Amino acid sequence: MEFLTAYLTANNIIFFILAAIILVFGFLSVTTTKILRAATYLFFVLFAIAGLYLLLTYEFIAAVQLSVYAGGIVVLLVFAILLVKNLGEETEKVSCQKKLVSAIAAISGVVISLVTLFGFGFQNNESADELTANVNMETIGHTLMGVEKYQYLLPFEAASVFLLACIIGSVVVATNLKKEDKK
Amino acid sequence: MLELDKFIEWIHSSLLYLIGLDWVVSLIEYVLIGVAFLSLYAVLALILIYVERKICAFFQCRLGPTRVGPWGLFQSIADMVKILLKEIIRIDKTDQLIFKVAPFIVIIGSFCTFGALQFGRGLHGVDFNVGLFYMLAISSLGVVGILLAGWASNNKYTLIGAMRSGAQLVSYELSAGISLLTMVIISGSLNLTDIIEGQANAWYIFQAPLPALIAFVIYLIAGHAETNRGPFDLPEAESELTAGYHTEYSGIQFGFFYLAEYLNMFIIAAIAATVFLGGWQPFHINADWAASFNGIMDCIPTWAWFFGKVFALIFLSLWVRWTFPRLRIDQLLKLEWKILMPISLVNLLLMAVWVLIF
Amino acid sequence: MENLEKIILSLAPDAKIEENTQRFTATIAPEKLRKVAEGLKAKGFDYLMCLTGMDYKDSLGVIYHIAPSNDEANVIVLKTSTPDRETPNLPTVSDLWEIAYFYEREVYDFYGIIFTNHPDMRRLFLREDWKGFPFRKDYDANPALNPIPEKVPSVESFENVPTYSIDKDGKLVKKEYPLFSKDEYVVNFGPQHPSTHGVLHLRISLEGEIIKHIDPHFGYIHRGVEKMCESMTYPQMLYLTERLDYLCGTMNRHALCACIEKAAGIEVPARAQYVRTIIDELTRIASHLIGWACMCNDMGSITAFIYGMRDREKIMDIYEETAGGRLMVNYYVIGGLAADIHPNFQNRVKEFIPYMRKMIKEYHVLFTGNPIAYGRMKNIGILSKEKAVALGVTGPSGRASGWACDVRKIEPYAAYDKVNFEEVLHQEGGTFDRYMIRLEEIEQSLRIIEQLIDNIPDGDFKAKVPAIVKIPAGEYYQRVENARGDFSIYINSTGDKNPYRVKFRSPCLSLITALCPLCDKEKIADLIMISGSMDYVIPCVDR
Repeated sequence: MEFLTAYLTANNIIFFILAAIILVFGFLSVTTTKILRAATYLFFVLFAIAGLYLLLTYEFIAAVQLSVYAGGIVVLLVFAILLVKNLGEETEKVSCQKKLVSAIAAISGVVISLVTLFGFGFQNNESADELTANVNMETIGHTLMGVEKYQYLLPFEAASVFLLACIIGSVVVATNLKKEDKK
Repeated sequence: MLELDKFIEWIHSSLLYLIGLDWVVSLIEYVLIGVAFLSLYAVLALILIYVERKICAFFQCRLGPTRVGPWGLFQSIADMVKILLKEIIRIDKTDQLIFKVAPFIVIIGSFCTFGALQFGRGLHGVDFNVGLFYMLAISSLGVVGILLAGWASNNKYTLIGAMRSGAQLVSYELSAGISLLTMVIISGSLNLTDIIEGQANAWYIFQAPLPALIAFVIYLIAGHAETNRGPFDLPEAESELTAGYHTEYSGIQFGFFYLAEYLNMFIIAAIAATVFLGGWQPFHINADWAASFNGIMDCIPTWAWFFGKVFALIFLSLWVRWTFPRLRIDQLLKLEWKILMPISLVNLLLMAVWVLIF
Repeated sequence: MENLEKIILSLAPDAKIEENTQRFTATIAPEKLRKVAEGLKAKGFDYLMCLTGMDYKDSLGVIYHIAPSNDEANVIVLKTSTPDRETPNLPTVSDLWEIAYFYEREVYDFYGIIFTNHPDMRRLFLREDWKGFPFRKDYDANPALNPIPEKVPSVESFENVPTYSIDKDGKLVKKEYPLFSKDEYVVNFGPQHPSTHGVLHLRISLEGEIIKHIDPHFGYIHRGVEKMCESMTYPQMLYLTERLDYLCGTMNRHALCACIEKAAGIEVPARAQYVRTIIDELTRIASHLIGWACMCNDMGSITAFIYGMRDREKIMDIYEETAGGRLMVNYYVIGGLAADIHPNFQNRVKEFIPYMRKMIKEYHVLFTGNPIAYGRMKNIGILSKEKAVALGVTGPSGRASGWACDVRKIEPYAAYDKVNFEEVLHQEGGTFDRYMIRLEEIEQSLRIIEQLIDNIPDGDFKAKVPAIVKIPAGEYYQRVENARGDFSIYINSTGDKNPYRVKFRSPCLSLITALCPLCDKEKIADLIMISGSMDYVIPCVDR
């Protein structure tokens, strides 16, 4: 009984609901044979993860999660519709060998993440609250734009240059296609 | 005088007095807030539909609805009842799950944004640290529903409509986001309460007239495009794609798309009013001689200011909707990528310089 | 006349020149057809006005009305026939005059005449599995032969295109090819679609938003008007004409009235001629208003649509007062008018003229100058003059390409020779020109009405016409400029009280024909707008 009352706080209930959503839809998105359904399930998973961040009052991360990941699903859907022929049909069954390889990859992934998670020295609850409370927009902004230790201007710039290269590349590819069309 | 925050405090204190248990009161209040938002959402849609029909009729030298109730006031209620009673047609050879989920995604995206709006002093559901960013992020999720609806209908028209919608939303979100970002420079915060408080003395559009005005116009255009309404109604271009992505939907499933479309119009207008026109802040002149004028302005309740501004912007959007012909898809993308995007990027810089100098 | 005779005789020495006909007529043997056709085309006869199938009972034939595009009054009528009734075949002329592509399919559909080397010998109006050729005089109309199909016909039935050619031994060889390849994304536009302006069915192959190929599919509301006419008396036939192109009903009826009157030698009183001209021009305004309004609606501007409909309503009210009808006016009869004009008629028309002028200014303010509208219309769907002539695109759409094809100027009828008006011509042939030309023609129509409305002569409104109208044996061809182009009527009479063969030359068919080359590599939105600028009416095609 005591165990129950200790764990039945509103936060925990919501956490379990979200966790259940993440697990169920995560599982479904891997096992379904229809690509668009997989994308939809993934959308729910990412949405629920944003919910987890909100639960931790990491509002900024939650909004980023929605904008970048869940928003990214839009692009995924567009590509799925554009690139995959016969969307309605189910994908082929994979061979045993492939199954084995992917199972090993998945299990090793889980092991690595678990090891990292448990290896991390989590502080107790109070200091964690302090940590979240301190993260406001200004700190994030300064950290992104700073050049000192634990500041990220260089990766930020590298990412933007990389994206720019991608854009230019796609423009070049597209114009080449157009020229071929004209010929 | 007519402020509602006192009323809400009164509800809170009387509930506390009556029940006394903190968590029960919180529970009741959560439910009450949910119900209030849902009913506001529905009622606003009804009002907007009526207003649009009357204004559209006015532009077209017609009368609009006149039969149901005085001046046809109950027309949209009659329509609502009709749409609730209509049969939901099951389409053969479709992915039923996605087909049914799609309208919910659209309306959830719209409702989650609606929940973060501030309707008056103390009249808001949640107050996020990053409210503006949150609204931008979550309002962009509706397009997932549109894409899924278009694909799941197993119809070529709906698919074309959905793809158009995808291209349109992804593009126009950029300049909408950048123009809001421009205003964040001046406010220095993403928190909606801070943004509104910052405009107590002068609305942002008056604080930095040139860049703010440019951003305002760009946001109106891009926001209008995000609502999928004419001249940007390509995803449901009625004369080209019959009804675009929602061709195959009927009954309340169609109703959800319809509702979301109207409320998105309201949300865009509300964000524009909040960020550029001071939200629920009354019109103030920041000078000593205008104290009495400011006092008179304060007499008007804040929620009236908010809805007044929003409806003025909605009128503008309807005006555009019923005047302009539809853009073609390449014109649409050209407008965004070659005109609005560069201008808003330069404007962002301009605003930064402006804030540094003044 | 001699000149034409010389041309024909030099091409085919054994051609039989017919005397005593309205137009210059020559009958040639089918083997000579290609040579004569090529020769005429080289001589500048680049406009195939009309192509009529005929059943002479002992043989099946085709009549070609051909004219030079710069001198349309100079019509040559070519006739040819083949006695073979089992597999009648004639060489195609669709490579010389593009419009023959559809005309020959129509003749094949109704008479079963196979045009060899024609790229596409599908039926045009009837189902592919239809038994018999309905316009032949020995056609068995027993409904048991062609029951209503219980199953929807498969798509393949109209996507397998047969072609015929003659091999070395003189045998007819049939080949088939599929219209679309398997991975093409083919969309059905219509038959139920908000902007096909009727029951038109387009099969469109798309690549993203871009159109690769269009295949029009007609016949959903085909009523066999021409066949019905063969069993009707002349006054009865009049009521069918207004149901062809319902937006310019009075002009179509005018064409038939004028044709019969000319054939039967009936002198129409001047009063009737004047009123007919005024009513025709009012109809033209009403039709152009709908054309303009629908085009705006196709581009998503519903407000402009409502404005156009509002102003058209004024014309409908004028009709209602004088004739009783609104859309189907039923006002002209053989010999004149059904009744005299209403005493209010002149006043109301005079009120309408300044009102309409004011409204046109408003249209320009609302729509023409709009950057979105202008950007969408400019440089889209350009139809060159040569192409317009080859495709037989007449009327405002042809004039927008710079082709002076106004029948009112070329062969004036009714009171058109008594009025001053300008034949509005544009040179570019783009969608914007087709848009503008309609509004400009409305102004010219107002000018015509202005000149006539105060000068309607007194006198009878109807000539004395015998109770049973018979026209002497022979062939008659009457052209009228309706709101969409050259509407002509061909009547072949044996002197009986009903005609032997009636053919309506539909201007709308060629407008739709033009849609296919114009929309190549354009976008879906452009297709809708270009078809709006063509302003066709489907019942005119599906006669």
